[in-house]
Amino acid sequence: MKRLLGISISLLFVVAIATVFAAGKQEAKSAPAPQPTTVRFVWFTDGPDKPAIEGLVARFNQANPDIKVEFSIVPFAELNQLLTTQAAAGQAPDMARVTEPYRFFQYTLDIRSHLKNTNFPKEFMDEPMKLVTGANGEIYGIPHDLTMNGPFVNVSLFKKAGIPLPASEKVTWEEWMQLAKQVKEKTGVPFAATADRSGHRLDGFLQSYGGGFFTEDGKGLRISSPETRKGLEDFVRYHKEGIMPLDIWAGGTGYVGANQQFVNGLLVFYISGNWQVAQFNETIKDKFEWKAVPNAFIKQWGGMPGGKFLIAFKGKAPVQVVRLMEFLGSAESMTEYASKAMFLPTRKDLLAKGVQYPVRNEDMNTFIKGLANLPKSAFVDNYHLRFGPVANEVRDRITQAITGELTVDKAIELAEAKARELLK
Amino acid sequence: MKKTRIPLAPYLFLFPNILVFSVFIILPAGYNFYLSLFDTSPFRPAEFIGLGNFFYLLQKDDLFRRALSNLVIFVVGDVGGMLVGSVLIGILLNQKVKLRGFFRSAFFYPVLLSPVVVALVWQWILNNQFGALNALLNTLGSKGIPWLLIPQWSRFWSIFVHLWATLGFYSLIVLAGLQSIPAELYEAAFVDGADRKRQFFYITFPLLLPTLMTVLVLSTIRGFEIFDHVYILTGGGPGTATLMMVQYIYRAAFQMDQFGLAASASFLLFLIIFLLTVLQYLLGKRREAI
Repeated sequence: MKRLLGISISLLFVVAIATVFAAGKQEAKSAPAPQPTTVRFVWFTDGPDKPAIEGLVARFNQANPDIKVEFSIVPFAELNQLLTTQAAAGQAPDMARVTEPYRFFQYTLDIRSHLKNTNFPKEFMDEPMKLVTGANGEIYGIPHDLTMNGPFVNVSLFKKAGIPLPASEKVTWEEWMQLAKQVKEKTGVPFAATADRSGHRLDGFLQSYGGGFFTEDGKGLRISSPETRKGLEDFVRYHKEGIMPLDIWAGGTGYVGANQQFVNGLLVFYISGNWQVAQFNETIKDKFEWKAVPNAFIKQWGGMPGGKFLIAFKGKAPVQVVRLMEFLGSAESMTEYASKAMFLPTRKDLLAKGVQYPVRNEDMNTFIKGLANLPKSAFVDNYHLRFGPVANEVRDRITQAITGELTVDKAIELAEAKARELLK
Repeated sequence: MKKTRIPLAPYLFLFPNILVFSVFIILPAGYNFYLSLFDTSPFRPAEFIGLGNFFYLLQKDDLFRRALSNLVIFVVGDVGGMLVGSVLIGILLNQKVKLRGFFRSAFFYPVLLSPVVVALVWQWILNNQFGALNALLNTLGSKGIPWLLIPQWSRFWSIFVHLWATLGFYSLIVLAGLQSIPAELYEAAFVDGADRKRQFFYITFPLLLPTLMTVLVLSTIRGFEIFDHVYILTGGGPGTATLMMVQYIYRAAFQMDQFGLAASASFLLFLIIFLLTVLQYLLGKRREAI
C-alpha cells in the first residue's frame, strides 16, 4: 500500500511538470496574429546620449510600424561580460552599442547582403571602419560616434590662485602638472591633476612623448620603448609626488572615473574626453568656470581617438536590424545625435562640413581640432584588435608601480611579456 | 531468504533535483575543466595545451599567486573572526535580557542586505575625503587616514566588512547550538561549585564543537568564494593588495579574453575548496569517533 502511494505521488509530480510544459506550448500555439518584428537593441550610456538615441529610436518605431525596437540600457562596466554570456547562449540582442566590436565577431552579422545602400560602409571614417570589418571583408557594423581624449581645467581655480593659463597651445604634461600643483596649494583643493583610470587615457598621455603600445604595423610592441618608458615613469612620479592622487589609480582593477571630483570643483586638471562636455554642462552649470584645453605636446600631440560602434548580431531579424542601422547611420540621424549628445560624428561628410553644437561649441571644437592633430600611432593603437586587453594589462601593472608593489621597470617588463602572449 | 527490494520512490523524488543540479552545476563544471585544457583567443581557434594553463598559473603568473595568497590571508582572518565572533555574540544573545528579540534581529539585519549595498555604504564611511570615519577622527582632532589606499588597512577592512555583513547568520547557528545544551548540566555544575569560566570550557565549548565545525566549514567555503564585498569596497586594490581569486578569474576571462586560463584558475579554486571541505569532514568524523 505504502509502495503504491509512493509511486502514485511520484507519477503525480511527473504529470504536473509535463502539464506545465504542455501549457506553455499550447499558449505558443494559440498566439495572436503576427506582430511587428521585434529588434532588441542594447545600449550603454555616457549620459547625454540617452535622450538623443531614445528620440531617434522612437522616431524609427513610428516611421516603421512593421518593426518594434526594444531598447534597453546596461551599465558600461558589465557590457562586454553581458554580451559575451548572452551571445554564447544564443541570446544575443539584435544590435548593440559597443567599444570593442572584435570581441563578438564570431556572433555578429555580415550586414552587406542586407544593405539598401551598398555604399553605406564607405560613408564612414576609414580607420574606425576597420574595427568592424572582418578578416575577409565582412562588415559587422558601423562606427557610431567618435570620442577624443583631452584635458579639462577648472578656470575658476586658476583665477582664484592668481595663476594665468598658458598662453601657448603647445604645453607639456610637466608644465600642466606643476601649474595644477601650484593652484592646488594656493586654493586648498584636495586634487591637483588626474586622469581616468583607463589604459586608453594612459595611452593618450604617452602619445605626447612619442610613445604608445603597438608598432605602426600593429605586429609588434613598444611598451618598453624609451619614449613610452619616459612617459610611464613621469606618470608614476606624478602620483608619488602627490600631484595625482592615489584615489583614482590605486583603486584596484577596473575603470575608475574622476568626473565627480571635477564636477564638485575639487580637481584642477582632469584628463578625460569629449563625452564629458555635455554632462559637465548639465551638472556644473554656473558653479565654476571650466574649459577643454588641447592635449600636451612634447614630441607630438597627445590624445587618443575612441568611439562607439553599432554592431549587428546574427538573429531572426537581419533585414530589420540593418534597416535600423542604416537609419541611425544616416547623415540626418547622425547630425541630430552628435549635436544633442555632444559627440563627434563618424561620417566623412559631417566631419568635413562640421557640426554646430547647441552649447559649449568652443570646447567641442577643441576636441575636433585635437582629432585632426592626432598622430597616426594613436589610431593604430586604439583600433588594434588587442588594444583592450593590452591596455588593461599596462594600466594594472602601472597601478602596481604607483602603489609601490613593483618598480616601473618591472611593471613594464611584466606588461610587455603579457602583451606578447596576447598577440600570439 | 527474503530479497531486499530497492525502493523506487526516493529516486523519483530526487530525480528533478538531480536533473537541475546536473544541468546547472555538474555539466558546467565539466565543461569548465575541458576549457581549462585549451589556450583560447577570440582571434584564432582554441589550441589544446593539456595542463599548460595550470603550470602557467602556478609557475609564471604572479597575479594568480598574489590572488591566492591574498585569499588565504582573507580566509584565515575571516574564519577566525567568524568563529570567535559568532561564539561571543551567540552567548550574548542567549542571555535572558530585556529586548532580547530586538538584539537578535539587529545582529541578523546586515545578513539581509545586498553585498553591493553593504560594500557601498562602507566605502562611503571609509572614503578618504568625505568618509564618516575620517570626519569623526577630524572632529576628535586627529588627521584622517586613507583607509582604502593603504594595503594593510585595505585588507583589514575587507575582512571586517565581510564579518559585519555575515556574522549574524553564523551567530544564529551558534545560538541554536547553545540552546540545545541541556540546562541541567549547568545547574549540576553550579551545584558542584563550577564558576562561569569552568562552565564554558567544560560544558559549553565541548558540546558546541559540532556546531562550530558547521560554522567552520560554511564560513571557509564562503570565504574562498569571496568576490562581491571586496570587489565593490576596494576593487582589489590598492594595487593588488586585496585582489581575490574570483576577481582574478573575472579579470582573466572578461578583461583579458583568456577563457582557458580563467577556467583553469576556476578549477584550481574548486579543488582547494573541495579538498578543504573533505579534510574538515574527516576531522569532524574522527573527533566523533573519539
